[in-house]
Amino acid sequence: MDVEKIYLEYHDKIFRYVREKVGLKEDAEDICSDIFLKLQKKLPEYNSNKAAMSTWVYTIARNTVIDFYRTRHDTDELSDELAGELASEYDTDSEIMDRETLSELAAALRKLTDEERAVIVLHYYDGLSLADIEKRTGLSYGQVKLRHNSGLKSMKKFLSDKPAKKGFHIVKT
Amino acid sequence: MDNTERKLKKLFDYQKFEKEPGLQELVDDVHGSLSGMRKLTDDELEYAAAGAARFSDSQLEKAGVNIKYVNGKKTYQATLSGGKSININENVAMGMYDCYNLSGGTKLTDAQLKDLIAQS
Repeated sequence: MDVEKIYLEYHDKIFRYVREKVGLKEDAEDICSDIFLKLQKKLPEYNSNKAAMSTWVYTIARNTVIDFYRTRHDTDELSDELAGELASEYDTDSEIMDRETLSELAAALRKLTDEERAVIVLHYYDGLSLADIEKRTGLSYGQVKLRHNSGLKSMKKFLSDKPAKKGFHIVKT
Repeated sequence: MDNTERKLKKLFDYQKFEKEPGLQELVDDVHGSLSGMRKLTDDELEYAAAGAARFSDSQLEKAGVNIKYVNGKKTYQATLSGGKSININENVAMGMYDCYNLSGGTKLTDAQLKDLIAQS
């Protein structure tokens, strides 16, 4: 695959992902340009045995967003999981980063109660604090915490039951 | 944050990129059921497609936006210097955060807020 094909296939995904992370459209456009420059530079090194193309592109996109905030010394604006990546350069979770796992995650979430599912999505997808979720759902803080803990327990079982795929690792950029 | 939470956050972040349809439908259902979301008009879809920014409630509150849920619907208010609260729309709320962010953490003056409302 050449960089032009990657651009055609992934440009919209990358722009939408970056746009959600940064406030200004101009910043998102600049970051997207950086991402495609990096993809062009790194494409000769890409090994499909080590990472699926989508995972590889996503990882470069994510790391470029992190670099953007790190350069501005603006880590307050980063979500917790991205802020964590500033400290860690090695990641072993790429074996679960594929569409199949996302589909299985959806199936696991459907087994939760409506309230557990809402708390898990609002906390881990939307990045809301439990206090924000209390305001958003009308549940008491104690109820939110209980739903979070019970939902998380089910998610732990789902993730621990996932067999690890060999050979994939996060690309360092 | 334990390992499960870390992996879950990573998967959901990957979903923001990959947009796997089954999981996205589930996420949209959660959002829809909580906010009483109605079907978007064509103008609103066009605006969303143009890349409207989305910020968390806590980010907006830092910028001086007051968020309330009325009958399940999210409403925004800004407080003027005299203490009077005025209703604002989502565009203005997002604009308040953009300005707050660009200025390095300074909230808008009344005059700036009125300008922003006029432009929206």
